[in-house]
Parts: sequence; structure tokens; C-alpha cells
Amino acid sequence: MSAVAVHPGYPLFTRTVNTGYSQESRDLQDKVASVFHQFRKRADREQAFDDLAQALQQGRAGNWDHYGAVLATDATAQVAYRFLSALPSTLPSPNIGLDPDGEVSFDWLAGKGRVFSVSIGESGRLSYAGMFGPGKTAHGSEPFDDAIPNVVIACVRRLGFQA
Amino acid sequence: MRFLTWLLRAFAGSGSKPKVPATVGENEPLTRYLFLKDHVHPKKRMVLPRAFLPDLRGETSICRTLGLSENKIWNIGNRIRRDPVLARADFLAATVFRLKLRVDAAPEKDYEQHAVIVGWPAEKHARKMLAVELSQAATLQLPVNA
Repeated sequence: MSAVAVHPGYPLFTRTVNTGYSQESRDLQDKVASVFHQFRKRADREQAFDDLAQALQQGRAGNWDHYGAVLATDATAQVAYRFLSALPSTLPSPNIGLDPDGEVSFDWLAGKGRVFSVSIGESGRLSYAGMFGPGKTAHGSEPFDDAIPNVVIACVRRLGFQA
Repeated sequence: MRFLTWLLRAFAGSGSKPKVPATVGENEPLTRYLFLKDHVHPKKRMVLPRAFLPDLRGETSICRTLGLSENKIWNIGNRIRRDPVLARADFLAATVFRLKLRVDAAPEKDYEQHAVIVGWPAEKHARKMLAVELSQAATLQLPVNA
């Protein structure tokens, strides 16, 4: 077993250059890169929770989209937090916003024509739709019981995000 | 008689033939004005699907832009609300028709180019699929000073 200890004052999110040449040095570089990757992913997920809070805040103002959108309820907020908390850490964090019907939508944008979107509201039912390249689409509905349905995980992976 | 003519013009427009045709042609360019930050991903130059989802009346509000200059298109967007328009999603009416949706002209006072996308399905996931298709067919336009 090996471990990497990172000094608390080390600037984690800056570019690192390895001047070593040995195999040990390269192994160490890979381990450090892996640690940095985990830190970045955690920061990314924290940002997603902030985005969710901001979206819900926006959705509590009447007519928030100027087209008579439904308010985001406390029940919707609870379900949305549960959904985001249940997302596997191996998946990239989604872009978060509100639908006109007051549901929260979680969107993954991999590039033009490669998009996956899930909406959830107080009913606890997930509605999803995705495009995975020209002519390749999928959509449907699944219950959410605090576990992310396999189809949702598969669709996000199908977008081909680079880890 | 003059007063009657003035009254008719005041309440029924200019009295001349409307500049915007009543029906929306297949090759007409359309735009969806985007006012919310979470409808746009500027870095990826992408429009989020939620930007196209219909309101509670089952309508997605859009603007018909045939024959309008870029300046005019932005100006319309900036005067229909108090908030400035953040971006536009440009697309062709043909895209909407291909998805078995309709575009109905819905001219308003001082906004004769206004139209709505209607005919959305009842199921949320089916609406989302169409919104995904529209968002991916659309081209994001950002204001020059953005």
C-alpha cells in the first residue's frame, strides 16, 4: 500500500511539472494526479450544490421566468437535493436549473448534439431525454427512490465525458 | 371621418398591410430570446434544453426574424422585457415542423413578429426530448458586447 501526503500549503489547483525521470517518479506523479483529480471532482460537486441552491432561490420568486412559471416547492427542493447527493462521484456534475413547471433539471452537455437532461419534481418521478450524436436519442420516465436509476447513469456515460 | 381614420389606425395598427405574413413558412428564421443565465452555456456556446420547454399554456414564445437586421433583432429582445436579453437561440421553422410541432403567429401590440411553438405532448419526458432536439438544432448568438 502506498499513500500520498499533500502539504496543506501546496497549491492544489495549479499546473504541476515533474522534473523527475525515474519510474518511481512517474508512479508518484500518477498518484499525485489522481489525488488532484479527486479534489477537483469534490470541488465540482460542491459547486453543483451551490448551483442547486441558487436555482431554488430563483424559483421561489413569483413568475421567475416572466412566462408564469410554477414556483419551486420545498418538496421539490428536498427531492432535488436527494438526487444530487445520490449521483455517483464517478459521474461529472450536471448543469442545474429550473423548468417552467417548477421541476429541477440536471443537464450534462458534452458538446453540440451530445446532451442528456433529467428533471425531477415533488412527485419523485424522473423524466429524462438525451441526444448522443446524430439520430441517437433516448427518453423516458423512471421512479426515483434515492438510488439513481441505471438508465440515467448509462445515459450520462454514453455522452463520453473524459474523466 | 379623419377622426374615425385616426381611431382605426390607433386601435388596429397602421392601416397598411401587416409586414409579417399570417402563416409561418418552413424556411423562416426564428429566434428564442434567452433572459436566464441557466438557459445558456457561454463557454460551450450551447443552449440548455430547458430554454425551449413550453410555459404552462403549452407555448414557447419566439420571434420571427425574416428580413430583420441583427440590430433590429437584438432591439426587439431588449424591449420586450425590463431585463436585457442575454443571448438568442436561432433556428429555422423547418426544425420545429420536423418535430411535429407547430409555429403559430401571435402578433402583439408593438411586437408583430411574436409567435409561439405549440403542439407539445403531454408527457414531460417527450417534451424534454423535443426541447433537447430544438436546443441542439439552435445556434447560440451572444450580444457583441457579451
